[in-house]
Amino acid sequence: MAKVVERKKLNWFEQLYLPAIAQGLGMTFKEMFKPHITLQYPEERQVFADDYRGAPGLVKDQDGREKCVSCQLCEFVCPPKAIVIEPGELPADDTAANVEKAPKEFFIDFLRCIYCGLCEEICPEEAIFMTSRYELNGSKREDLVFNKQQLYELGGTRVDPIKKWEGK
Amino acid sequence: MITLTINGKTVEVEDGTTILQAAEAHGMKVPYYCYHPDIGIDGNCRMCLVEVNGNTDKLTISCKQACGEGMDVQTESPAVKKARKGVLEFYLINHPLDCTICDEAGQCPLQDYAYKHGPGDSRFVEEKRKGPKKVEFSDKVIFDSERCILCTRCTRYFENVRDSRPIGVSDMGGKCTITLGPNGPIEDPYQLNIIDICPVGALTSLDARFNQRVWFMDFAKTICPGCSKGCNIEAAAYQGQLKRFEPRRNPDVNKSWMCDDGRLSYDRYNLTDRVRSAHVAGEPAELGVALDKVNELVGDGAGVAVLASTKNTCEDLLALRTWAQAHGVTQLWHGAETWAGDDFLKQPDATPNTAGAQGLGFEPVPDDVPALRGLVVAGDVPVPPALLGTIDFLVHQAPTAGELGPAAMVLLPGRTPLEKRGTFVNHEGRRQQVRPAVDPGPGVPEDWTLWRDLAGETARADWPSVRHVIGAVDRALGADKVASAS
Repeated sequence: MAKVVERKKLNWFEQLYLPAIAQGLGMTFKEMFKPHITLQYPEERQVFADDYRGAPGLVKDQDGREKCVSCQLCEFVCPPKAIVIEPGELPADDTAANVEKAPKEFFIDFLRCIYCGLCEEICPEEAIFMTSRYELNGSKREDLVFNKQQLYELGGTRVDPIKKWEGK
Repeated sequence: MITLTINGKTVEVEDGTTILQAAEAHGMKVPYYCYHPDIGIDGNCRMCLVEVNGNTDKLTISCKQACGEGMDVQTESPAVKKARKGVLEFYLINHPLDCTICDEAGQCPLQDYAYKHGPGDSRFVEEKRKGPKKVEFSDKVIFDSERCILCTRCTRYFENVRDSRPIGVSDMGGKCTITLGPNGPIEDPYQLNIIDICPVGALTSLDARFNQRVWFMDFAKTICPGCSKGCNIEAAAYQGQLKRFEPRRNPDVNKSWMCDDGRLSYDRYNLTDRVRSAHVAGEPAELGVALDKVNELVGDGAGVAVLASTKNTCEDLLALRTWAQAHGVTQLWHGAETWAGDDFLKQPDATPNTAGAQGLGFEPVPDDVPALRGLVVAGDVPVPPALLGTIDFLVHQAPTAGELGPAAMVLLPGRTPLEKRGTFVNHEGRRQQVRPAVDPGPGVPEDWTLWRDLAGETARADWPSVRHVIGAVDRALGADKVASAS
């Protein structure tokens, strides 16, 4: 059985409506002088905290060395199995040849990635970081499978104060 | 017999058994690096320290100490645990801890023991020892001296098992390292065994270098199909591709070893051009149609011979024999492939199942071949030209079409030995189980099912699965043969 909600009966002042309009406009005027929080996307972008979990990218150190050594722990830990790495050997004439190992290819499927950040957390080389990039789109599925070059563009450079491989 | 107690458990062991062997035999694990059951005792690594008769001032190395009557051994007492921690801390002082780039990671006893028994952190703040890295001991083995813990398993393998000394320990103190001898690179055809016995990543295989992490690979316990020795192996596959063969310990057959040729032969079974459907006269056909065609061609079997590869399992051969006998084919022959054997493991017969084929009634191809009307070739096998001279039709069943493929009236798909489940009988008559390491993909049924389906309704009803055929093979070969433990 339907419940009948009894409407409040308006008194004569309320029935005029004009006070309500004035009240509404008053609210609007009040808001006009408060700080604006709407961003004019895409011209304006939100600024994220450093630990925002956007798309993961690979980083190079200040000397331009690929930090990833393809230990494949991120591939192992990745819950949706978005990461696929093809390990390879660094050529003998490479400036960081003593590291011996580097990824030949590195793929992250951003259709699979769940932005959990476990890859960043597990990385023993601090080579993969969650960036603040959150808009990823493409016209094909393949467009969202990033290869090594795209991932380095995404990650950029990070200063490495320790340089654990130097002199190893 | 000697009676002693290990961790409060009374055990009885043979005279001369070491404490470590006694503990292992009774399910108590003692960590060790330098000891290896097939190389022998050295006693240099100090990992296997145990407490004997409550003497905590001087612990005993269990790998070298023989059991004594009434001994009271503790393998997990506080003193032992503290000693292990100390030993591991010393090992890890100079170990580069570069597990991220080390191929041994995942099957590394140093990693395992450091995790299980190690101190968990390091007090060492000084510079680590530096040494030669990426030293090629041969075109197969690469050596990293910084990772080496000097257990000398590799040098003792060559001395005790191979009776040669291509590498040895040189220098002293912190510079002590394994060095290549004056005669240049190692040439031993069994040298890759040192990469398995190396308990760290000091010796790694150039073939498998940075290929794939072990924890991504699927390991199947199977038998090396390279020769009739039947070495027990673990075949590792990654995404359907075979990546490596590793020996699996079987003290009765291959101990812990296998030959380099066998170990590096895995890629031979990664086929790119495989037969994925039946073909009749060169055209793809339904499997059922092709099988009917085979029976039609064979007819009453007069003048038809079967030539089977001895890389087939006994199950394949039994089903083949059943079909052949049902269709009046009496000439059952097996192929022969040979290579240079040696006195260690390699047998001159380069196929794994010749003894099984002979046990099931297949005979070598006779010298004077009778005139044939048709030939059925089962498996990838070299066919003597004399057999092909007079035939009207050829039925070929193999993983790849090969040379015979274009000439075959009926071409049937087949599996490689790494894709089969069944039995191989090695040169000593030992039956060993073969298990599939990879899946051949669509369109390639198990070989024995083809011959079973050809044989007709009775065989189909008798053998619904491979387990039934394995049972039938056991009965056909009789009970007098040696069955392997694994």
